[in-house]
Amino acid sequence: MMPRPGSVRRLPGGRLRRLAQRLCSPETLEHVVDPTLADLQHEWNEAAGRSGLARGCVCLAGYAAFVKALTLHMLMTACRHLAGNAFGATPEERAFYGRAGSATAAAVLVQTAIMMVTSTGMGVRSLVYALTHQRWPGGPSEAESLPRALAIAFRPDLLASLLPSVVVLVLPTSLLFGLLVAARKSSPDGASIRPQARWVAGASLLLTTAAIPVTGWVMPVANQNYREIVVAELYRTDRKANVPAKGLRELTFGELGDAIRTEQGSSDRYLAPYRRTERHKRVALPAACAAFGLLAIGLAGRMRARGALVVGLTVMVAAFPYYFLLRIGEQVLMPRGTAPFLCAWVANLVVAGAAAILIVSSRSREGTEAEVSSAAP
Amino acid sequence: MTRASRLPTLSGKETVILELLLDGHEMYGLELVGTSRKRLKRGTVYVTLQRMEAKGYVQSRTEADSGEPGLPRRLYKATAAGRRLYDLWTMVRTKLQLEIA
Repeated sequence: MMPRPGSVRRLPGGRLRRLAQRLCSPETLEHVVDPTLADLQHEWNEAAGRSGLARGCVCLAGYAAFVKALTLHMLMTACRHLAGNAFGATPEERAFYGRAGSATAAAVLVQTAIMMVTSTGMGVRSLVYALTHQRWPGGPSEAESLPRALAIAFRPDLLASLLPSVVVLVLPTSLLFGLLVAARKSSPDGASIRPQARWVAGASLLLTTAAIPVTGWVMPVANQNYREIVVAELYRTDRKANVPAKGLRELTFGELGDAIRTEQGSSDRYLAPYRRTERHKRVALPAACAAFGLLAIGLAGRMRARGALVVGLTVMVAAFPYYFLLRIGEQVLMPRGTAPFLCAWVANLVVAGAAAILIVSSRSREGTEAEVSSAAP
Repeated sequence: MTRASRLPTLSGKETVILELLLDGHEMYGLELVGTSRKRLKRGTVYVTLQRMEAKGYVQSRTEADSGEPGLPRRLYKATAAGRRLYDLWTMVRTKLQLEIA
């Protein structure tokens, strides 16, 4: 469906359509994107005589519908792709998903192992500190506490409780690594093929959807489990007899919502911004997969001729600012009264923004190269 | 059971859309949402319509130039197969409800 000449630029949705043109198939553009934006633009025209606020509301409703329609469509497309043969995935797509899946899984394993060793080491240090600070005349020294701290930190149930938090944290960067590795060489005969944006977007969205129950429900339960085991071991008590109170990270999504609602009616609202930020984070962490998926689309073209080491280094370079911004959001923006949404989402927004810039620049570079090659004799 | 031999079914949203398009005239997505009395949502209507078009229950065309600026709207109408499936579906549902009651 072609826009009427000279008309789209003045109306809302023009930029969204150009972005969708880069990400979606022509069929999606024709049947989902264009009709949704057409409705928005016609509603906008009809609201011409109304106040700015009313037109703003029209815009907002239209944009919300657009985002919802596109997300829903991409999720369905991702499911169809994952279903493979049954829904007629091409050999190229299957090869791409096979490589991306195995490389992502390998990156998850390696990064999880590194993070587990680091977290356990930090855990041992904290345990030694806790054990020696229970000191009384003739109490244990640091050297005496170390074997007990090691025994607690390497308990299999304690390590298992650490896993969900670690996996959620390493998932976005692992996905980026997997997608970039798959983008380098994907066809069954070993030739290089270009991954289509919708495959990458579909896989990222699917991973995001799968990670939300983990951050919302599995991770808080595991965190509480971890605290209970540590307290029981430190005080040598029965685990159920001395249950520590839940902190923010131990509250499930539903419990956080309940706490926020209860707090709204009370005068003591000190914890409100912390709880709201934590609730946003439970969605923002899985959504990082989508942001890193976008980054993979932007970087894929530049990574095609590079080795695995360069890909790994690129992922590390991309991961560092992400983790840094996560901490900034929590420890710098939060205490200064910044909106909870921004504190939790700042890292994702920066990654997605960088991805958008990369996508646009790589598309314009390809356009220039195509023009040059077509002009060549 | 293979996909091809599966019985055609209608979801709740598909039933509402066919019900609204039953009289044969064409409607665009937002119009369907407006007349559905909150049974259809703006964010999902076009995804559902696309799926229905792929199944052959509705057909669509781009609106002729109305002179208004902006993208042309997409108009949908029920196909004969869609109308027949809706009739059969409603009949079976009514019969089942009577049997169960």
